[in-house]
Amino acid sequence: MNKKIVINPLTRISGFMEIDVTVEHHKVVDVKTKGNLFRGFEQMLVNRNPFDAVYFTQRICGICSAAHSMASSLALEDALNIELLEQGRYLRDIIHCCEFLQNHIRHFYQYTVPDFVKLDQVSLVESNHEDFRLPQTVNDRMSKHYFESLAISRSAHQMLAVLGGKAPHNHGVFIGGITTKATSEKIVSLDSLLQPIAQFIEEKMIPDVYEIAYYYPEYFRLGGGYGNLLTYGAFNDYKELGTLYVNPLVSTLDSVETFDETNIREKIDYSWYKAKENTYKPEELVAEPDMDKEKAYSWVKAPRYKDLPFEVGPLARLILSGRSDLGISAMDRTIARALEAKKIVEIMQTLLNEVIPNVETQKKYELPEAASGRGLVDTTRGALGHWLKINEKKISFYQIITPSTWDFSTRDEKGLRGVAEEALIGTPIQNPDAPAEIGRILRSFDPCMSCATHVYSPGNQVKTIKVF
Amino acid sequence: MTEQVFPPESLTNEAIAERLSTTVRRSVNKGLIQKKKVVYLELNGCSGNIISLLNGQNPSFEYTLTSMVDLRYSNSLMAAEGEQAMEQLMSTIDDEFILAVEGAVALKNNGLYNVIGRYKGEPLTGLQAVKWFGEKASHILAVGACATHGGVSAAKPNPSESVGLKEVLPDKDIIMLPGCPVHPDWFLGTLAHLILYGEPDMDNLNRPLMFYSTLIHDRCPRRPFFDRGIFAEKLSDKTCLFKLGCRGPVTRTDCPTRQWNGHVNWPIGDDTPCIGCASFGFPDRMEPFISFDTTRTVKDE
Amino acid sequence: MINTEMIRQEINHLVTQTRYDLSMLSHMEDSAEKTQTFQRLWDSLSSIHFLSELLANQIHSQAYLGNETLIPSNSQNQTTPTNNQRTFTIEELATFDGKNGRPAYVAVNGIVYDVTNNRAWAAATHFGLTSGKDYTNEFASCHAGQQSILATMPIVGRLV
Repeated sequence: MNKKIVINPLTRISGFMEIDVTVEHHKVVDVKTKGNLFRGFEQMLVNRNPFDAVYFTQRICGICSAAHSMASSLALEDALNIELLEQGRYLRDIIHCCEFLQNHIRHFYQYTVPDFVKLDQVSLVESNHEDFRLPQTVNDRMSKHYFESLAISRSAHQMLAVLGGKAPHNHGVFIGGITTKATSEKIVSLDSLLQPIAQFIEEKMIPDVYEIAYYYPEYFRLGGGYGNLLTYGAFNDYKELGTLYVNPLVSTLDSVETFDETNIREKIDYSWYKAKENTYKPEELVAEPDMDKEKAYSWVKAPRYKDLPFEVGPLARLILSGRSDLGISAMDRTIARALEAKKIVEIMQTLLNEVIPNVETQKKYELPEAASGRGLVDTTRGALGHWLKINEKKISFYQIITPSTWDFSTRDEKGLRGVAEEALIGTPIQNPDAPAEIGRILRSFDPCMSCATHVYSPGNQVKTIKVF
Repeated sequence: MTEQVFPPESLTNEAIAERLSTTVRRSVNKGLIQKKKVVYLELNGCSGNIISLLNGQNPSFEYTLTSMVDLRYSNSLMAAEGEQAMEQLMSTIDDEFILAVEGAVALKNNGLYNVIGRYKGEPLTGLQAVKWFGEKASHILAVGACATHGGVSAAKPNPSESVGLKEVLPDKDIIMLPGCPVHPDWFLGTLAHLILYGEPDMDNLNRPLMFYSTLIHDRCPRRPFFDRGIFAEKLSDKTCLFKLGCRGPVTRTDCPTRQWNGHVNWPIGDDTPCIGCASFGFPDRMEPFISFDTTRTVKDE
Repeated sequence: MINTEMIRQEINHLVTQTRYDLSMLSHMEDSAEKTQTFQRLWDSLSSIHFLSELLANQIHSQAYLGNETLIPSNSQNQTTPTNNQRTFTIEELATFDGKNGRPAYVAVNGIVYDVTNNRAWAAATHFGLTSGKDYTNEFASCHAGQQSILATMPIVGRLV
């Protein structure tokens, strides 16, 4: 017998999301993930001052705003033919590190932990499922860490503000590096703020994630999906330091190769959009909304690499950077986030050691009459791309493909599901009235629906039994 | 409490915030006041205000959560999901509660561009939720630029037809806390004031005077450069950023003295212009954010 | 019409109040009351600054125009043109856009003002408006009853 489970809202994510799951004999047989808000940044950006894109695009997302300032700065540098100083790059990447730390710590403690730890201090964190397995002492310790972590993620944002002016929505990341000179006082301040964060990650966050893994071992077998991984590269290819983390790579189950951006396509076969083609290159066009499109079931577009869906994010990066002890599952994804936080601390320490105080990275920039550029960078949730065109010194085209669009895409013309959809297929659901499994698996991807900028449409729903 | 406080004024603001939070804690502990229920709705926006609130230090967010208010609903933080989350929201509507809203209200397709959940099988739009809860709330706080006037969500050409809270609740008294995002002190301080003493003093646009009374320009540490006509030509210069597009002269906040993220820095301190994120015209009427062509002198043009 | 004597009196009044506030502060214990007094001091300072700018511009414009009618009104006849006053066509005005070192001018009610260093015109833009244009209608709709704003701005000529 078929049952349909609808979860809306999927809480503890950035933005709004609905999940429709069809369950047959206690197993998931079909999934649809749908984003629930639309603002249309690509349309808004047209005709604006190109320099403003750096601050404007940050408003796409409150939890990963620095990521968008990185991608738009890179895209503008590409368009304006600006080669940035290595010192500028170090400083900008340090800001980016701060965001990774803030994001990973908040995602793990505020978004993931309530799935596995029974928190009952305040009514806000009362759960609605019953599958809590931690012994009382472990559970108590982790609920303490839930609150302790708030001070830690806060100081990660404080580090970001030391160089970036404020967070979220920083002012520091810009063309050329960052907008201010790093004084020795700032460098020391960052170093001292970083130490307690490093200690927290090492002594609490990583042990906590392994403890959860120990009590919920079946999640090493759930939420796998295709196993295709992709990264645009992160903290790589420095002139003197080489690659500190991971180079641009893609892998399928049987091959690993260097990432080549010409293989990216966006598909809209099953999305509520129209364009002259259903498959196009990112720099070619921005599709128009079309709510009457047949077959379409969602407003999520579907990015593909060589026609295949790819998973992006911390797990993809760690595996592609050579960590062979990780598999591909919901639990591995969550562990990867904690391990990556440690990795980022190390990278940040390396970069801080390289910073020379008081280096000027800013110039008076001039806009060309016409140009185009793209900025591809791996951010907290994975591969982020901005493509822009300038005409008459104004933005004439802006395309954004976010990490969550990769992970939460719709299916394509070949019937291939999105990464997160595929990861849910086959999941056994113990209690369809209060399914803990679905939320846990989806959150392992750290969905950011503010970024995915999708639209919800109520039309053409399959008639099914709603369990909720 | 009694230390000598002379300008910079941040000290006095800090003192207010600290006094407020200590008094609330004491009063809650003594049972003099009840924890107020708060419904926090995230609508069409980036959820950046809730992230900013997590950065709050005085009072801190965890303190606010455990000692000051009973936060009934927050999409970003609550453990419950799906229908249970909706039940938790709906069960509050007949109690006395404070409504805080971040994000704009999307009007397009009758609000369907922003669905915040599914209640009894039907999609619940941000528009509907704000109307229901706005009518019943004891106080309403518009948190951040999108909620106060549409903000970035309503930027031209406004594809989702987003508007600020006031447009859908025209008869309601709404406390306006503009900013992109809101400074955690602005929100948490206002909330503490509401709980202790009721509504704070506000200006004609309903912004609390304790945070939004003075132009950034009037307290800007770079003001002497403006008065002498010494202007920055590029970011990273230490002089007045007016020619690059600084909106400090039209924006009323206490950023110069309060600063951000534990008072470590602020946009002008980062050698960039204020982009007027707490002005009601943000972003369209505050652009361009950064222009270099007003600082450049081209001979014989 | 701006009355210099009135501005002087206002400044004196503010100075007296500031002196009083300062003397009060030295005795004050209640920190809430202190905060209010500080706020008032800040406000007084801002007002004094504003008024002194007003006075300075007053003197400057009078010397420039040789004309005491400084607040332009809708009727052009009230402001007598003088010989040393430059005239602008709307096309000429458009070149004063504040870019590439050019000054930023805008026109209201036939008078052309210099907003190059006007604090509300950062980067030669003001709430989405760019300089080099006639903003008679915009001024009337946003600043009704606020003619004093115009009185503080340097006049560079007339729009013809």
